[in-house]
Amino acid sequence: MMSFFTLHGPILPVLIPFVSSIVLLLAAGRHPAMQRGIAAFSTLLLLAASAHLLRLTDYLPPLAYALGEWAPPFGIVLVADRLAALGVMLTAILAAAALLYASAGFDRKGRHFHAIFQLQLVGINGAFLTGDVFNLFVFFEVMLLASYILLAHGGGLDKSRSGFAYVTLNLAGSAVFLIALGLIYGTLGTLNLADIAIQLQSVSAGEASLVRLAGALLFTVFLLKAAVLPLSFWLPHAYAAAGAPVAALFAIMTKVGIVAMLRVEVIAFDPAAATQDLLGGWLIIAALATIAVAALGVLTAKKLQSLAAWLVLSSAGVLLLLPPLANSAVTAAGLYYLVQSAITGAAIFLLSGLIAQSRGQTGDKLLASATAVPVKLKIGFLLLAATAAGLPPFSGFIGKLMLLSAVSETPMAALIWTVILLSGLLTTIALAKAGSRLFWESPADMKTVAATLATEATPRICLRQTLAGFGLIAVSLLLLIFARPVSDFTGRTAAQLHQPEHYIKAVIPDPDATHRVTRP
Amino acid sequence: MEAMLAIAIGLLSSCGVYLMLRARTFPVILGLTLLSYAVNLFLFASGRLTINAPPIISAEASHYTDPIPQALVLTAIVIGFGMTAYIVTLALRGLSESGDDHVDMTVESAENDKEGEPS
Repeated sequence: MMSFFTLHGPILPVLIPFVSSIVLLLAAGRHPAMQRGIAAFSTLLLLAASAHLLRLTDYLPPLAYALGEWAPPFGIVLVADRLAALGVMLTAILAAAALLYASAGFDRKGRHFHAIFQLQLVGINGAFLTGDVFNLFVFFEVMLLASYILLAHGGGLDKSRSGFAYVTLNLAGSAVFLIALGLIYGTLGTLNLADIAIQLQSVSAGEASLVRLAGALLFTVFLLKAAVLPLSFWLPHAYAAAGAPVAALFAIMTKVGIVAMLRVEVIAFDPAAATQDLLGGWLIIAALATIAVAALGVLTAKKLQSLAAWLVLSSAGVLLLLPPLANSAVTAAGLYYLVQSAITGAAIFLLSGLIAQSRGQTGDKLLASATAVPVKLKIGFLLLAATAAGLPPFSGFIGKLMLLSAVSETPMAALIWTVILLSGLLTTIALAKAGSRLFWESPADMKTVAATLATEATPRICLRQTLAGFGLIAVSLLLLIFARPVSDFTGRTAAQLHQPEHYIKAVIPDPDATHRVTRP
Repeated sequence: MEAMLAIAIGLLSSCGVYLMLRARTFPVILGLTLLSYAVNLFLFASGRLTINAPPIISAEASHYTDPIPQALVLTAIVIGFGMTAYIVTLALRGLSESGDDHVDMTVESAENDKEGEPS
């Protein structure tokens, strides 16, 4: 007999933020302190539920949760395997830091910040946990709708402009997603991922081309979310325009696209003969091109936050190597890189918010400023820059090292090594340049300095903001100290993912027992 | 009937794509709406076209139509409706802030660019 929390473990990370977002909607506009309290309580519960799920999935096979006891493949099913639990845990950590940072005053800029923030968590967690592709679409939409509102939070033309492009692009992406789902349902008669995997084994030759088309469209949408090169131009603008805590939470969103793609590829499309060669060398080339362009973007960024946005794009490019290689060792290393790059990316966004605040009017522009930046922020920047650039001994270095040694067996290893190492060099140069501009350069004209110092009030940084930023830096250092246990876990995650029969068996124990009606 | 539906979907999506490529916010939103109509029709057809048949169990029925695409379409319509409402608001806000309905919201953005934000 399983305990209540084991039985209902998979749905808690979706349910907790969902309930609290409804409560927060009811409390909108009243008692800001109470709203913060509810949001903080919900996020703490989410942290506990995610940690519980992470522990459960580590020693149990994948947990299938059929909503309303409608047996798969007919009902809605959530599946918690190690990959989903890892994603949910990462989201909870980023959410806690972003919320702490936002509760210093950013949340007061709009009435519904906390409710929308919790809805964003519903979407992200749901996308990690869902076991069928239509609900993946629904959770993607929940995630995107919330992200549109969070992106515009705080107002300003810059946000409206980048927001409009972001929304339009994602709406077009949703249309493509739905066409892919229609094709899958029309040919395979199911939308449950495990059932798709079973049906793909026996797809007729006539329908194979339609299924391949559906798979190609589906991967196109995932690539749009994951921001691969020709589909990535929205990301730097959107992430640079968002408020610092929002951008920190967004650091996980490209990862959602990559995880969804990895899951669909490894569980359903790769084992079937009809769709085996959908992802191949072309995606590796596209991913490497993404890394190269992102490195140039990092070099040319004129603000610290847009530099951070280009860094997110660069790590997305590295992670896009995982689905086409579809190999257990590469996935294990890649998942460690995913965790550390998400934490580091979010921390840089928070730190750039802090630096912008401490520099008054100059903000996070990479120009000399009259006001000096506090020493603690300089140290934080140094740690993060070294991690992001992949310098030893930080976790970014370990992540890259593991990934590079894992890909050394693959045919395109030489090219992958060259691009990743060169991009690391360019990133190091760009971050060193940015740091010296931000901290050491003083304006040429000393008169304006005196004038600015006289007129500008001394910027105040709230303790919560510092705590949030340095909390994430601490997590990034913990990833270094506990590199062994974390990489062992990602190894077990990858091993489980690359044995799709476990996943399929957890969802549909006996495929022959399912009664099916043949269609015209 | 299949041919008619196929032509309708094709016409809607080609008009939608054409409008989406325009430079003003209103045609872009109309294009997105047309595209979502095309997608909804397409989804509806994914369960095969059946005439005069109920989607739920009934004593008189001799054959049934597939109920799942209908549920999927309903979900897609609701989501599309919410998205359209939001993007209209966003376009109006851009219009009031920049005084222009160009998708790049260009009037003041030229000034922003001078200040160092990459465009």
